[in-house]
Parts: sequence; structure tokens; C-alpha cells
Amino acid sequence: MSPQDDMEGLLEQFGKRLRERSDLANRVQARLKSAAQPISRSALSWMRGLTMRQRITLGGIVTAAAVLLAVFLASDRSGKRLFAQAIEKTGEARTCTFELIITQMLSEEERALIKESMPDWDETGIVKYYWQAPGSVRWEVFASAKSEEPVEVTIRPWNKPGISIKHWEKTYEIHSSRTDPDSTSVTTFVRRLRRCPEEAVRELGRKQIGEGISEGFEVSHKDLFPPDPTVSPEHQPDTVEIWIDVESQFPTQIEMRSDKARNVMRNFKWDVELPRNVFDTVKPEGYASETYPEALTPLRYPAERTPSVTDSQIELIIRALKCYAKLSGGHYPKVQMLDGNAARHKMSEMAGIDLPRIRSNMAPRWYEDPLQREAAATWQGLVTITAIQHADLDAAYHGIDVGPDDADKVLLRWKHTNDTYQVIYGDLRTEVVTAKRLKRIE
Amino acid sequence: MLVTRSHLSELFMPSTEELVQAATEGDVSAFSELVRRYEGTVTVTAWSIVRDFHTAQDVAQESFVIAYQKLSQLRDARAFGPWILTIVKCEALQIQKKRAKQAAGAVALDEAIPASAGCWTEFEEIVPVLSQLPEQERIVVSLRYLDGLPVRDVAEATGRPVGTVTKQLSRAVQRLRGLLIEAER
Repeated sequence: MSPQDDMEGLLEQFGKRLRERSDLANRVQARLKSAAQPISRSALSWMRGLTMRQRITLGGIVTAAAVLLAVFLASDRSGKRLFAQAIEKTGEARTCTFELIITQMLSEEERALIKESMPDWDETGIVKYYWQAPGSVRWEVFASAKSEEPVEVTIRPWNKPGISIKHWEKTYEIHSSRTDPDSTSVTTFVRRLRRCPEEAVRELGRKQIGEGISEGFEVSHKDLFPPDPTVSPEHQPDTVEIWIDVESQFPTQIEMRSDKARNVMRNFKWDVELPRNVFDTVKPEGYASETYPEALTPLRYPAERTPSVTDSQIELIIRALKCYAKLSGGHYPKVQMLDGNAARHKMSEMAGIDLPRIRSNMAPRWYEDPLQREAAATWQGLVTITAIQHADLDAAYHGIDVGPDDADKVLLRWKHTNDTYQVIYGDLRTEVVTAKRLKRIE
Repeated sequence: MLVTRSHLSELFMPSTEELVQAATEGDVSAFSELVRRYEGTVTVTAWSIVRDFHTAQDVAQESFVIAYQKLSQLRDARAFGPWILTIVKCEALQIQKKRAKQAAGAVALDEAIPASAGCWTEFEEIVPVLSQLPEQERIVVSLRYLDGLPVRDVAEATGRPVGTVTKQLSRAVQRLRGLLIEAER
């Protein structure tokens, strides 16, 4: 194949090498740190009218005030100031490790299902997490506190392809660099905390954590994060508790709670040297690839900004609706507002798939029946419809009145640009139409 | 499996909007992430005007520094992409003007500013071809392939619908194919 034939590959490779060799970000950062802050001439111009004695007196008052302020800042490590200081300090950290404990209220069936694939699993299982600025992450999942080896490892080096290795079923999944919205970053968490309004932060007092004293703060989870459509509502946390060491000013424990789940991040270590090769991504020998096409990435909701719906997401919606109609005997979800989770459960029920609440990604290859496989591969298309309906996209879904035989009736539509709408008809044809034409056909 | 990506998804990859907001609050590392996100497109845009690799890099660096200093003036954080491209174009044009003045003086331009000999040849092979694309196509190709942004992020950065960006990308790739064949003749 000549370079002309694989133009996209050629450009991608070139871009990759360009990014790998570039030190522009470091040079800009160095420039920003060394650049002196310009002093506005007009800000000091009023001093020109003062005598030298007045200037000296004023200078003394200003200096005294500055010293008092500095003493106050240095001594006041309690209350919300500590919270703000911890955010600043955490934002400057270069590395971090912690353990994550996820406690779920599971039914007996769900426990049995997990045990089927992982006999060693129990509720003492933990996740060990490594992070390095600006965004390389690795997490290792241990089935129980007694486990010496992880059952799953995910490695996402910053700006490079990542890998998830499931030792328990001998498979691996390759992640593309930068394109996965689930890439994690401690700094992003900190940025979200920074945006939390001060009045929304509740003080919890002090307690001993590890060798030091930590001060606790509580915020509402919804003040920090949008709901995740792939997690059942009862498992989405209500509150987030953040405990901060009063001496180091770094978080020592973060806890997210709901009625049905409790996730605790503990044993934090900040700015420590990480094990060598911790972000190396090596395909394990003899493991099967479980890499899915990027096309199946669902749209998250509610989006913090107006989202764009990609062509592959439209394809996913169509496949999900087609599969739903086949399973239901010829109709789409008969509702006005589609609830992604409810539709997903209905779809799995019709397909005869035992879908546990805690599994957000079903593996299609687990199912022998082609329709079950298709349901497992496409259900996220239904969640995508919910996301579109919740986003500010002037969307409408007509599943009550429109079925697969209604070739010319609008089943789903949403605003594409200011002038056009994306339409999916009853027979699942797609078309981009003007607002004027939409009025005629809807 | 007990732990899914969504359990950790609270800590998503930051959006341009989030990075701009953090950088506005003084977070230099957030701004560095913005630099990484747009550096390819910014450098190529600078090169299309100054036609020299080292100068393009200097212009890119200067443009990002200016952007950081004026970040509070950016009204819509999502518009960082088009905004930084406007800055880089202004900067590159100013450099061009200075160079033109120098060229008009006693010193020959070729001697005053070393040409790109010895610099990264791959850049000099691909970017001139890329620069022959219409501006809008060059920008979407650079964002998509050189900076590695997903199509939806390219759409956001350019303020165009995903469908339009997809079509522009496809047209641009076709056009580049033809340009490369022509260049090899």
C-alpha cells in the first residue's frame, strides 16, 4: 500500500511523532513561570500626587497589613481555607497513589454471578490506583484483600494508547489515546472541586486518619458530577466526603456514598516516586483481544455543554432501535421520554439476558444467540437517545405513534445546527432536514 | 466485573472548556494541556504563513504565551480553538512583516534567518502539502490527525457540526492524496 492509499494512517503517524517529539508545552510553561507579571502603570499613577513623606507613611501601613495577612494565612489552617489550600496543593501534585474500596449492596444472584467468573472475589476487594501528571493512570483490581495478583489491570498513559487486561478471562482491550472520555485524572477531580460553590461545602470536624489529624468536608455529588447513565440511579453517589490532613494539606481520604454503594479512596500518597514501568502497555501473550470499535461509544449525559452526536452514535441508535423492534415483535420503546436505564432493562429482559445492575458494559461475545449478542452490543444506543433528549438539542421521540412500518413518519429528531435537524424515520432511514421541512413532515 | 470504567468515570478527561476555566484560575498545568491539545494545528497554521519550521515553532510558543495572558478576555471557553488560531495568524503575519522589512534592508533574508536545512525533514515534507489545502480543511485535518482530537472535539473547536467536519475531513484526505501524487511526479 502506498502512502497515498493510506493517507489517514500517514497523517496519524506523523501527528503521533510530532506530539511525541514536541516540547512546546514545556517551553510555554517555562515562559509563563519566568515571565514577570506586568504592573499596570495606571494602577500606581495616583501615587504621583503624594509627597515623599506621604508615600513612606502609606508604604509602612501597606507593609504592616501585608505582614498581618501573611501571618493570618499561615496560621489559619482550619475550616474552608484548608479546603481551598488542599485544592491548590493537589492541583500542583505530580504523582499520587491510593486505594479504592467499592462496597455495593448486592443481591444473592449478583454475588453468585460475580463468583462464577471470579471465585476469589469477596467484598474486601480493592483497586490500587496510580496517577502521574498530566494524566497517566493505572488501576489494578484485586478480587479480595488476600489476593496477591490483580484480576484486572488498566493502564492509560497520557497521550498514548492504553490497555485493559482482564486476567480472570484472559482478554485484553486496547484504548486509543485521548479519545476515551473515561480517561481519569486526579487534577480533573480537583478542578471540579474548585468549581464547587463555597456555601455548598459543609464542614465535618476533625478525626485521626493514618498518623495525622484530618479535617473533613462534605459536598453534594451532583454539585461536582453529572449523573452517569451507565450506572443505575440508586448506585450513583449522593454525597462526597473529603478528608484533608491539616499538616500536609493533601487529601487523605475521599468517600462517595449512596443508599446502595459506598466508594472510599484511602491511603493516599502524594508526590511519591512511582514503580518503574508502571505505565508500560504490553499485550499479554496468549490473551484474546476484546477491543470494540470506537463507534460504540455512547453519548454521556446530561452534557455540560451542548454535545455533538457523531455518525457512529447515530448508527448505534439505529442498531439499538432495530434490535429492540425485533425483540418486541415489531415496535420501538412506547414512551414519550425514553429512560435509557428502563429501556436497557426491558431490552435485556426481552433478550433473555441476565443483566446485573453493576455491570455497565455487557460483553456481546458471552452470548451465543445472535439477537442476544446484538442487544448486548447496542443497548447503549438507547442510553444515547436519552442523552439527546436531556441535552439542549430540541429533541423529540415519537415511539408511541411511530413503528417500523411508518417509513415517512419521524421517529426521532434533534437539532443538528441552527438551521437543520437530524431525523430518524420509522423505517430507520436518516435524513438531515431544514426546520421548515421538519414542520411539514412531523 | 465489579469495577467498571464508569466507577472511575467521575474523573473524566477534561474538556477544553474545563481546561480554559482552570487555566483562567491560574492553573498552568491545565494550560499546558491546552497547548498539547492544539500545538500541531497552531504550528502548522504558523508555518503556512512564515514557511519556516523554527520560526513557526517560535510563533506558536509566543501565541500560546499571549493566549495565556489574555485568557480572561475569552468570553466563551469553548471557542478557545478558533481564538488561538486567530492569535497565531496575527503573530505570524507580524513576523512576516518584520522579515519583509529586513529583506528590504541590506541583509539578505536567507542569511538573516537560517532556512530549515537540518530541521525535521518529515515536517518539511508533509506540512507544505498540507498547507495547500483550503484553510478550513487544513485546520480540521490538523486538529484531527496532528493533534489527535476526536471528530466531535474538532467540531467543537471549529464551531461546526460533526457532519460538516466529517465531510471536510473526507474531502481533505482525497485532496491530499492527489497533492501527494502530484508532488511525487
